[in-house]
Amino acid sequence: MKISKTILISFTACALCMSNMLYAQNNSGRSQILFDAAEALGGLEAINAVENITLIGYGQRLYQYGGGGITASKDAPLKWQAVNDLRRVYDIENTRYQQLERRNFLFPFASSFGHNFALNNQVLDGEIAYDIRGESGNEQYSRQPEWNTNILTVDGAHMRRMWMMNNPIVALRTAMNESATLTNLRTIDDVDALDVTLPEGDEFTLAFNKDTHLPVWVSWASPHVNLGQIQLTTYFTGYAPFDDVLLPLGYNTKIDWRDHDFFKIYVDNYLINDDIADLQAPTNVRNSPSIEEFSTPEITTVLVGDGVWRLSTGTIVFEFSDHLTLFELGDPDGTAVIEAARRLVPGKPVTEVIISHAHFDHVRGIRDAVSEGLTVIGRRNNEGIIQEMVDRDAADYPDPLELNPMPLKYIPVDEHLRLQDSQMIVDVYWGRANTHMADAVFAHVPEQAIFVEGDMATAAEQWQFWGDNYLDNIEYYDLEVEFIAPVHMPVMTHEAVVQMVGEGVQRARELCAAELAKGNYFAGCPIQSKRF
Amino acid sequence: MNLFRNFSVVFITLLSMSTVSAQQNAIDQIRASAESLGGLDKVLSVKNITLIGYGQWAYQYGGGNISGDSTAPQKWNAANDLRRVYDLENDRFQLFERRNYLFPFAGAFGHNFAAVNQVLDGEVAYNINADGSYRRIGDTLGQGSQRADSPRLRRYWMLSNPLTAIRTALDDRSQVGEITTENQLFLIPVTTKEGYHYTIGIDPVTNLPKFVRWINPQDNMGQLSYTVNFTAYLPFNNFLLPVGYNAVIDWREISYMKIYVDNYFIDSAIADLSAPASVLATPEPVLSAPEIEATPVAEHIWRLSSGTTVFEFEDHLVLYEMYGNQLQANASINVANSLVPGKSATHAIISHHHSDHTGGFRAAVAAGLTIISRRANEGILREWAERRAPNFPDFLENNWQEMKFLPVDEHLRLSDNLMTVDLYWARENIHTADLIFAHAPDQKVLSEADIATAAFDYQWWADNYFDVIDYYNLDVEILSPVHQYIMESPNEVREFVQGGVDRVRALCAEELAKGNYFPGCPVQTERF
Repeated sequence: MKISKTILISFTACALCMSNMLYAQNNSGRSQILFDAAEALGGLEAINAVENITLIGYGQRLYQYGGGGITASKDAPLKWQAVNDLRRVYDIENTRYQQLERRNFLFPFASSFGHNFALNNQVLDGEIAYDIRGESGNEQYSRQPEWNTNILTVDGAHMRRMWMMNNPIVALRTAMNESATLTNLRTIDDVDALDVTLPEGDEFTLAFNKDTHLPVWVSWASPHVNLGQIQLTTYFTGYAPFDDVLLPLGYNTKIDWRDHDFFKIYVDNYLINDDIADLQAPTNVRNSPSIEEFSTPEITTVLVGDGVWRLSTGTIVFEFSDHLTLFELGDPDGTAVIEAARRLVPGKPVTEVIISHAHFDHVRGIRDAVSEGLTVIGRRNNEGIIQEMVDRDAADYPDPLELNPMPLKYIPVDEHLRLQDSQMIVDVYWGRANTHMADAVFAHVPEQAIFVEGDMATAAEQWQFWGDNYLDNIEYYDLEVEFIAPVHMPVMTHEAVVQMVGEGVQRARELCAAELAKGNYFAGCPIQSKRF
Repeated sequence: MNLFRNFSVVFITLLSMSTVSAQQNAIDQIRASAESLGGLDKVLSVKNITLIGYGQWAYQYGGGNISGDSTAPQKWNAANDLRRVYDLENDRFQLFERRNYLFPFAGAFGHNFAAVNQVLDGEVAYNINADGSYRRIGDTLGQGSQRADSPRLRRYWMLSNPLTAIRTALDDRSQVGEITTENQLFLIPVTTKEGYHYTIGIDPVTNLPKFVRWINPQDNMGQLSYTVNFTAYLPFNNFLLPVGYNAVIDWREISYMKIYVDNYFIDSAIADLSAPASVLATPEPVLSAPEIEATPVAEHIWRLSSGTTVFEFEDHLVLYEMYGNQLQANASINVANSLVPGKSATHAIISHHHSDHTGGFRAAVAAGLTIISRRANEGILREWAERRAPNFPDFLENNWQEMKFLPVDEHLRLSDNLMTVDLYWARENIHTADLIFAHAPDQKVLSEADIATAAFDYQWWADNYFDVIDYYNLDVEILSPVHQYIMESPNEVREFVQGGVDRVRALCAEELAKGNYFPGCPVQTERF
């Protein structure tokens, strides 16, 4: 809380500098809203005196951006992930930022990492993003790329910078800094808004309430592997005083796909100018090269059967007489996967991709596939969401589909679809009665007794919450199966899968019993299985 | 597919031009839906269905968030170990679940996963309590900041299953209305034998029900339309049943209740849900105005047993809080008006927007009282005050008028020769950002809600009460709260809060020992 004389002088000088810089802008009328906002938040002097802010609270994050529901329908109940023991450290003085949180899915997740409240410790130091893993005294540091996309959230230096801007004081201080470029003052839906461009090139829009002058939202764009790009808008609500400044007690980040609430923070407290940890990137992090964004590891291949391969991305390739058909793309870089498949049988084009279901981890790369002219095969009910993905723009972060727009070609599957020519027969069946995903399909190669699936038996090894589904479908369709080529796991024999599932059911039952003993009625418990 | 859908909708619309044919079409469509669900005969002969899964409720219908903004982060209540038993053979229904708030709640009941066991047997609703005893349930109309209850509502939840909705529509004692269209779906109104109205929305391509819609009273909003969407039809035995339910209300399109299905059992051995003799022998409880007692707090100040504090001014009365429900609020207004002959209540101070604290405010508006609250609460209160309730007329619908609103920013003084009441913003209250409390400086009485006294068990924002007293430099001897009881000394308040802090710290430690990082932990306090 105590501010040293040196820092005070620096801040005073900085504030004067800002005042001078913004005075000129003020004449144009543009930056007056910044001064008004500063006044509303506690006064320019007060907000300039803030060296750091620590937010303490908890949150919830939408699972897979809303693309992980039981169906792809807009009416499907959304699934959430609790984000507890949450901290956000805004080290304004040093342009550093830290995200600390422990996560727990609020629905039955097949892997223990989904429920173990492991600490996520993510830092941004200037232009360097890095993660801290391990307990105190035994920390391991790893540098993160500018962009890092996964299915649960987009990460990387850019996104951490934007999350840092998700605090009204930080955003305002940044906008008032002479290094930021301010443009495009306008009115949007009864709020004043202006665009802010950072020296790093990142852009965001900051909006202010016309009456209270308080910041009401901050908005920015991000590339998204399934949706092209998304616009994230964080709304600030429930301003309350902490020390000499006003800060919001509620944050709600919405995305422009289906207008979903994506991330919510419920604030328990703010500490202003607290004694925070040194967030400076360690030397080994600084010296490590930045990881290539969207990097695809080398794709390797395993022969599953005659004319059937499994790629290390989880993709299964079927060779027909004059073309190749893929079962899932398995990787954000769909183009690389398609190219790898092409190399398997030179001269045969990849023409189709079967999508097991519409969960966002299973439709990764779909926009690339459409841009390559592939026909998408999936359950009839999934056509709508795939069409939504294909129809979206990615003007700010052009992906292959943005650069080469193509219409979606879609072949729907109801109960059964046979793909057949003189070389290959692949039956595509509805994965019936799966409580993880209602509109799933799997593939079966009858002549080779190969079963190809995603999430039916192999979502993860740890816990089987829908243990009967694999065998139920084999029995219902009267299939002969010797080998399974899954998306998430290596090729296995049928017997090995059944054993793994049985053990997973048992582990899930043990989990349920352990949680019940703690007094916790765990979602998904008791386990529903007649077979195990 | 869209072409087919459009064609179907146009076809039905043309047929609907004849009333008789429209009704016949509706019945035909109901039968077609039964076929799609597994076959007409099977739908008519199924004895019972047990749904197993888990769910989530939006806290206080979406009216319990940190602020009244529509953009405020929504708070949720987990409903795990969830069962729904649809005993079609015997016209009975059971709603079973265990709840746990996914945010720090001040009452221990909010986190204890206690079993909620609610049954409907015909038109008799009863609860099975933890000790095995039974309690008959009447119609609470719109009361309940989180859920109403009544035989009617349980019937609606029973009908919120595509198979029960279709089978009920096929019942000779039900009345099926004319088919219409909405967003490329067929809409068929049905009236049950009990006289309850609901609408089934049907996909013309698959003939599967897409939703069931019904209306129920709600005290904050007059009435609500619930649309329970069905998604993800999967085969269970010989039936198709949805594994996703999403009940959306027509206020802010809030997702009010979600069910994630793990399994269904068809015609399994279920418990006997018939109402016990003791329940049948008990008359159905009928709502009546509660008896409100007034306790003097200080000179010209009373606390009503409803939680309302009454301040007497020279020529009028001012009430602090219209807590609970409209019936109670109206009774509170009446009792207040009888305290001082010739003086009536003219203003109702609403501490904050949370649905329990605004449950009676529509009655206050109906009584012509001016509503006083934080400026930021005007929006949500006006949204609620402007909603009509034609199906279930409440106090406001029966005496319709516009809400008069007086906003408070940091401080507002109400003063005349007899009484001075200062209204203050409660500043950094992490439970609700736009909260005001009242202070009568001459009597040294503070009246508040949810600052120090939200509940006995847990104090998550313990410093707030003492912080605001310090900040505003208030002299307080007596606390007249909404939720608890009159506390006669500052020490009594401090001990009350201290106990809550001790208990919540113990809770956090206990949960941490289990490996559970509880929301709201560790507790934030500098004073305790």
